[in-house]
Amino acid sequence: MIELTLNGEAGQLAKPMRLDEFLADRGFHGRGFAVALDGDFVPRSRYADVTLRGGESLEVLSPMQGG
Amino acid sequence: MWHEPECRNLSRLLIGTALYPSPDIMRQAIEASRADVLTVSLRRQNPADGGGEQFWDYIKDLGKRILPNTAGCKSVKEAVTTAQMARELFDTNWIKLEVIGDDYNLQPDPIGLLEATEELIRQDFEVFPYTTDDLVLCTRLAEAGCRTVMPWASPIGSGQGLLNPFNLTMIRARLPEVSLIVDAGIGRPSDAVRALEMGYDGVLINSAVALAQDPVAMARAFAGAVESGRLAYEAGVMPKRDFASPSTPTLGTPFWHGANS
Repeated sequence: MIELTLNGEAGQLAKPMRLDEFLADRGFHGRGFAVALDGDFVPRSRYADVTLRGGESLEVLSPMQGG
Repeated sequence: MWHEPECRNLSRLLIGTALYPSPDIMRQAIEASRADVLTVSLRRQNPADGGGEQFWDYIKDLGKRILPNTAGCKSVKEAVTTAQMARELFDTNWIKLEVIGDDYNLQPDPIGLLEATEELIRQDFEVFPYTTDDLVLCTRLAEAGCRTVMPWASPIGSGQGLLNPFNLTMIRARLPEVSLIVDAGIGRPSDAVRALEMGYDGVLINSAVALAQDPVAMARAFAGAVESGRLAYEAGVMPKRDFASPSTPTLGTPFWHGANS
């Protein structure tokens, strides 16, 4: 098992996984979110190029009310 | 902002989308405000709960310009990354840049704000910095390339109005070419009128409308306020005098019997 953090919560993966597959697996579909990996923005066009190998911290953010 | 041809006719009222009693009241209030620019944010959300898509669909249907914020960011890195995420998510290079330096009064961190501004302008963002009413900081932000600068009137959500009109007046006088928006602290329509009368190009409000007893009616009040304040600025306010000066002509005053009678 490898460990990673998604939106501040610790989680586990059975094996390394591509970011696009991981996001789909966690229910993130469509275009209503944006991703940062270890504090750096990951453009949507690069999801398939990134592999999660453990130890990463992911932020997946969606539109929200704001002032 | 209003210096650009495509923005010339935009309302001088910008409005936030948070804190309304319901989505429907938010929509009605936005329509009543006649605002053309809405602020939104980004947050962690559970995809099982819709992941913000419902809110975003609602906002998109309103057909307004979107000004995403970096609310809650405390470091340059966080703010820059959030801005990049907002650009992709909302498909705009506009960003209301917040780099908070104090949790208690949500005061911007001036050093981090300037640094993040410089980086985001390098990355072709149109940065709308939320700043304190410090003349030199506002000047530095403008020199960094901000065409719009947004000094606070008082802390976010406090509704205390224009706590330091002298500072705001000085910023207006020293930065005549920059679009200036009072962002944060506006509590009542008269605060907005005053800001516009002082020559501010616009005001950004949220709590003042959303937390009113009747947000829709208050939005309408603010729409009138910015229009009134701007008209007054363009009309030119009369100078103050220390003594009374009769407005009714004295010639032909009735019952006048001369100086010695």
